[in-house]
Amino acid sequence: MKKKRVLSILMVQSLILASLAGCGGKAAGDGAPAASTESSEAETEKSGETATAETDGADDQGAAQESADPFGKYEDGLEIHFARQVDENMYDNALANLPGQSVEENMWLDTYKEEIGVQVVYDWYVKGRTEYEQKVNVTIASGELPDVMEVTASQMMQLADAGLIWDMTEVFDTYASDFTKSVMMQEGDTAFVAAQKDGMLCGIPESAGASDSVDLMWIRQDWLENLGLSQPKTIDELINVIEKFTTDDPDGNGVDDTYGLGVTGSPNVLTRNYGSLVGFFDAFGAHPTIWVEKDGELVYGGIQPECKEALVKLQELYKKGCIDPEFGVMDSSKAGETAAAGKCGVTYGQQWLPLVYFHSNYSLDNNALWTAYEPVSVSGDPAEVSAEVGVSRWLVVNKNFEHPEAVVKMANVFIEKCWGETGDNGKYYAPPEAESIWKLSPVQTQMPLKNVMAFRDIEAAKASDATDSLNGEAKSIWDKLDRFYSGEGTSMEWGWERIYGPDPSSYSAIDRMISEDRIYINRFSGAPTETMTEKMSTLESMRDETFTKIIMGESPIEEFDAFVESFNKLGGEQITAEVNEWYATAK
Amino acid sequence: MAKKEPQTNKIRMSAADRVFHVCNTIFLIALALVCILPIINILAISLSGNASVTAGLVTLWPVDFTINSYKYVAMRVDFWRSMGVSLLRCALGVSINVFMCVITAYPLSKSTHRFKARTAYAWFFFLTMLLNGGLIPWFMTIKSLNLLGTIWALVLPGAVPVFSVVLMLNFFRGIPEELEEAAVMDGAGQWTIMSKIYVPLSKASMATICLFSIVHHWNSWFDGIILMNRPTQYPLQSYLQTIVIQSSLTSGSSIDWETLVSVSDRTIKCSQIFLSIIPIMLVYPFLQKYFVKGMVLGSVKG
Repeated sequence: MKKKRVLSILMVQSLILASLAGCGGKAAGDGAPAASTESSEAETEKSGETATAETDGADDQGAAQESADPFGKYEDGLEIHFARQVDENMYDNALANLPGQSVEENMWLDTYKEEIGVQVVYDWYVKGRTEYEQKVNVTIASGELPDVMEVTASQMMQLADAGLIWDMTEVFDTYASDFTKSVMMQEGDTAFVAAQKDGMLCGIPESAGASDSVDLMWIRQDWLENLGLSQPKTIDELINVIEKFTTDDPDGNGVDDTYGLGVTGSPNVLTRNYGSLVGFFDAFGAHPTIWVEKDGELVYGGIQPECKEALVKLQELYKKGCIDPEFGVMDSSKAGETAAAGKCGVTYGQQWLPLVYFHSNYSLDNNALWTAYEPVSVSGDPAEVSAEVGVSRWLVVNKNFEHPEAVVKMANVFIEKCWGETGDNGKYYAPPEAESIWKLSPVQTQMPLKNVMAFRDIEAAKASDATDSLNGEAKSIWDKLDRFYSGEGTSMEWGWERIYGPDPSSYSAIDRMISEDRIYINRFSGAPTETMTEKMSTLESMRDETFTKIIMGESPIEEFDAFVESFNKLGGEQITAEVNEWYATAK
Repeated sequence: MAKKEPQTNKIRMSAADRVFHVCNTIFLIALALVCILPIINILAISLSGNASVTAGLVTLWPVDFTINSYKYVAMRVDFWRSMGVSLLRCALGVSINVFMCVITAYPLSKSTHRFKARTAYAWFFFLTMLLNGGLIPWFMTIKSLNLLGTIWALVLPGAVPVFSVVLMLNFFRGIPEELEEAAVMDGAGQWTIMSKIYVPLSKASMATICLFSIVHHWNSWFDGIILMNRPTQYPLQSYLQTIVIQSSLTSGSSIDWETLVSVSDRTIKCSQIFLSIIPIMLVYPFLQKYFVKGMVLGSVKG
């Protein structure tokens, strides 16, 4: 009996405690503000040191500014502590073929040591992107930062708010070589604008090309021929092709088992992976993922009336059975299975799709021929395609580190060795036996237009019959194309040929879009505004839900107007105002 | 289940009983299938050609049978090194867990009049089941102890598994006090009583907590990623996490597509997943019988 009473008391107490724990959990949930106090504490603690560090730094700069040599060597050697992310690709395509080299001892680190006397030390490194971001978050909160690390926009702003990182404006201006500046600004200065906060340049952008991210229109060329159709030039012709692909048995197997248009619905229909619909929207002049300029003001693309026209067409296609009825729950790899299995003939997505889904299709069916075209438009004039700002990661330098210019010098070395006149792309960037060798460098300031330039080099070399003179990345790519043409290639080489081959291919389309200036890059490139951080993700999921429901016919098209209204009411208006405030200052 | 049936079968079953048994059997078989089918699917994928897998043609039987993915994994140093780290972690972790568990549970199993502060201690441990400091304090504690990047960071922070302590404690209480009294008469001290009498009598519950501990150490991946400084130090599950979870393209960025291409080979992922299940599948059958007994004894006699 007694035991039982004790037990029941215990249980009641544990219940009370559990509910208390619930409150505790909530408090812990507010980790972010707690974390920032943490770091600001760490900062005040270190402020004494920082002050001295700053004066030291200033002295150094003063001394250095006289010469300000972008490649100036630290004669006594300089140790820089990095944290970085590594990936599977770096092991498989570089280290696996470089005996004796490792993440911590390799040819790139030796280069930095020889050229500028910088000794790179890794405090830690993590495999995997999301894992890396988690670890950076924990590191920021715990206050022990390495000298240099790669961060996302929001992490960068958090660090800048806490005053933990250097303002790179002056350092970059002084130390970046002219060539570095020209390479990093190849697609304009948006990557730098995005890293600015109150006039402070918070980090060095590690750009990827914005033009690489556009949606292309992918069509099964062999199906077109089977049905005697020609390459569609307008959206109505494309819709006709999609319908024929659905109903007219394009694979000739006598069974009605094909879908015209491949669509990915999860997490949304605008993934830019396989089955993205961004390119479809582009046809109508609608750019639902970015900010566009209208009458001198910036407006959100996702609420413009142009989207409505695209949605009407998609709804019709869905009704006619041209889209897999289960697309809403398919992620891109699931939706891609349809293409790989040869059950789908048209889709939109980025330039690299042949290396994932289409090459499986090709290895199962050697007749399959996926071809990339520029997205068509309503009128038949080439469509203007939307692109995001091509940078999502920046290198930030710890305020307590005395030589922020060393990072800029490393960027100089990286860019000079990979693309400069004294460099050797075939040794430092992508030698054929170790194509990802550039990933061994902790500083990876990419040349945004490098892919399209490789394509141009290959085309020029082919025209003048000088493919032997190709070097570096262009050479590795050409070798693959060559293997394919000579019939030795596997399905992977087939994929590379689809991307870099002669017109029509991924890069012939992108090349044309660049030279005809038809890539519309997000007009808003600033750091996320206050309301944006708070509400944008909710508004975006509202957009995604509305779009999917309209396409599936669950909601009538009028639902779009209701969405626009609630978008504005629930913070959209405020965000638009903030974005335009930014635009006024940035112009 | 089937083995125990004959005893009850001797009593004549009513029609309702029979219906219940049929339904019950069907239900349990369905449940078992739900557990086993994904594993068979993974095995089938690991033995299929990559193109067929990407095309979604493989369900329960391999298509284009090949063992290439296993050949590839056999050559992967990373995989086997992580397997080694995991085995070491299990060996260390389980011994530490069991030792700490026994020496904690033994005194706590004594009644309050013999061990005055017992209630206070019991609460001290019990509270950790309800509350925890959260991610950042946890990380900072381990950092301050200079454990980051060592195998100890994976085994010391969870050294006292309180749930297992409660289980063990209840089991110890079920052992008749007379045994202890007899031992005391023979001049045994507490250490001797614990190690020579209580522990040998508790094999069932020891096996149970061993199993808990093995499964816990084998399956944890998050601490490996956060606490280790080099991918070479990752235990197997952290390693698998980095290759299996598809890095989704953040909208607009094209920087990660090369990684996406290189890890899109699902056959290799699946062969590694399958290999990682094997050690734990080998341990289970040996501990299973104790596992059931231990759970029941622990709870009923408490």
